[in-house]
Amino acid sequence: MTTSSTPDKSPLPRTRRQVLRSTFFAFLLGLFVVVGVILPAEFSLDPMGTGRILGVLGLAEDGSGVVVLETTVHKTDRVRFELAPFESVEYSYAMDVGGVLIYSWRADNELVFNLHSTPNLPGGNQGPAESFSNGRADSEQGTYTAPFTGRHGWFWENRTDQTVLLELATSGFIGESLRSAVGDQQIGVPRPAL
Amino acid sequence: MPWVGTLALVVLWSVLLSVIASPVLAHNVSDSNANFLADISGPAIPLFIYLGAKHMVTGIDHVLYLLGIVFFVYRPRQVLLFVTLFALGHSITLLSGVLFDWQVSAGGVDAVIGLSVAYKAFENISGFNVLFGRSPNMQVAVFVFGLVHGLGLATKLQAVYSGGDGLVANLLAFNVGVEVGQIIALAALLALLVWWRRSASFTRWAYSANVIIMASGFAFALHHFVALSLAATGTSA
Repeated sequence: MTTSSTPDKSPLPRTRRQVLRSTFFAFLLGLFVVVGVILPAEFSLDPMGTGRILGVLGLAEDGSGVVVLETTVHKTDRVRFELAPFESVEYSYAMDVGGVLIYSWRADNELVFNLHSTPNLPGGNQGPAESFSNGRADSEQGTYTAPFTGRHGWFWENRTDQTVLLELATSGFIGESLRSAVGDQQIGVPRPAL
Repeated sequence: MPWVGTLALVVLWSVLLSVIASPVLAHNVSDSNANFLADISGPAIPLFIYLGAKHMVTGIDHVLYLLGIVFFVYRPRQVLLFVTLFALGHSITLLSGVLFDWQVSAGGVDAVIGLSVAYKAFENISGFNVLFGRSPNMQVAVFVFGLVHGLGLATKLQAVYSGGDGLVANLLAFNVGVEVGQIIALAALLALLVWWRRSASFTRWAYSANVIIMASGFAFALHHFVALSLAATGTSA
């Protein structure tokens, strides 16, 4: 019966006692790992006080990372663009790494858009652009967290044969805005929210 | 070479410890992967092969179960048989689970997968033979637990990928990836086992190693059981 289904060279335990003891030990060890370490680390429950001793308690605490304090007041900005057929605009903000921007933009027709950033490089140059959201849409809203210090913003292009009106509303920890179309550049200053 | 056994135990202990970190390290397709997948429409064969392989190689529960399967299996033909049965089992439920959109509790399946690891280790220390005088058929057990592991794979894929265009192709690609990952994990496990078996310490420590695998399985199962219970009481409160 057991010839084909027993492991080839399993070192057979001597007694029932040993198997029972080993299985019980394995269960207790598993239980201890869960109650002593995983519960405090992942569920913030510390029934044995081991989480505090091991320093894993609070690893999964909701509070960590929820609030990020900033040193300056956040600013708001609202701009409108009128894009003639096949006209495009580039609009961006100076932001420091970790800064958060809440945005909504809405247009009365579909636009090609690209939300992207360029890092500041030493010597005042901009690094290569990294794109975070792009496609064709007549609106988008979201939250953006600056992955690095640099310029962060949008490129929009009207590929229709009619003029498209675009409105952007933002709020966040943003510095000066920069608007550039082909041939001109305009620097703006979003107003403090308070 | 007593140090070989010590080293092997240290490796197994770190496996046990990584079970602790499993919510972070293993098992779930990571958040950034999930965001990326949300944008997929149409077939993306290499991507899903990669995801399947990644899930298998980093899924400590699947790897532990594989280790349990091959621990005392010496003949290549037998290894092939067991691994094929396991692959057959998990492919059946992975494919049908996702295709027919079965809604099963991911946490519940994970708990049973943890128990399958403990079961295999218990079988390895001849627990059934010693306590009950006979052992359930090993081939059948591997196939049935293969079905359970496949359900787990299905819930993980369903959690991040809603299907639509190219579902069948992507699902098959994910399954192929799972098998590729299984071969990668198996190669590493067999290399370690073959090397360890040459030393006398294997006979001395093989039993303890399986007890530790069993403990990992119990820890895994209890972890998911606790998570489920907390979620249940959380919603009723």
